[in-house]
Amino acid sequence: MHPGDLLSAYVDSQLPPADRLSVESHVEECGDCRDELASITSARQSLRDLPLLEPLAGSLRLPAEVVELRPGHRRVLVAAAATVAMVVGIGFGVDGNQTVPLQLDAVVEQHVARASVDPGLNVMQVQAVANR
Amino acid sequence: MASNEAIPTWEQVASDYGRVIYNFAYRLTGNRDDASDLSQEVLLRVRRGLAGYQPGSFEGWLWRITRNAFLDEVRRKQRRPTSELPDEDRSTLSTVPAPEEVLAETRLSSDVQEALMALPYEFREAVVMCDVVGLTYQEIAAAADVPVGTVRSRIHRGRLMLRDALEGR
Repeated sequence: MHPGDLLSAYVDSQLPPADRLSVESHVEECGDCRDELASITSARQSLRDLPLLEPLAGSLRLPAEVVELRPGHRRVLVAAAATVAMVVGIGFGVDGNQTVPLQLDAVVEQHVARASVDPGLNVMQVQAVANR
Repeated sequence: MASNEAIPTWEQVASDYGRVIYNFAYRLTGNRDDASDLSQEVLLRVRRGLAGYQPGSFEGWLWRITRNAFLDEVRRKQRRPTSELPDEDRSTLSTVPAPEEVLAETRLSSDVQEALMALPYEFREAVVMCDVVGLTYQEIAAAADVPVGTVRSRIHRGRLMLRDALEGR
């Protein structure tokens, strides 16, 4: 019986020794299987010769919003979020008769923390940090 | 990796496997932008999944995530099919010395890429996992969730189809 797909397993060294030997002895006597072995060996080599490409820039980076920041950078983002929350919170307080509590103490505390981290912090810098 | 392996961090996966994930994606899609999107999607899924990863076959786990990401993308795009020609990465040319060799090699690898794209998905995936990624038959079986005998058959038939496609040029 012709070995068929065992020929591929043979060239890939995926056969136990006994099967290996029986494939070898068959191929010695069978011209068709010798041709088939030559064909798959050549196709296999074409694939293995393909160049390993360099990924396009950014391929191996996560989108910015899910990047886990190092502790120092995370503090900056929390502060920036707190600033946004404060602005939104004040908006609520002024415009309508909303019952959303402002929790000003926490907001002010985080805002102060932000100012101490980097007084010149702006959205562009936060983005730059996130993109690292 | 052995069964008593340490679970890698996401950064280790990205640095150790990122390039080969990108190449797997490129050989399956034939398109660099798609390969880039797919690599990001795979790394995102790896990041989500690492916390729940049980030590075992890391390669099988990683490549199962990769092929599932690819298949999801194929299903998503089936509504708006496109036929993209393969575009070979120019950056690989820098390592090849003579211009005539550059041309020869580029033509050759784009021929192989076109022949690959003509294979039905299961066969393309099997030969790429074996000959581009370098996985064992067992790892491919774990990734594709099929018996090892099926993997062997797909690799063999895939190579024969590839040979026919390349000889027809």
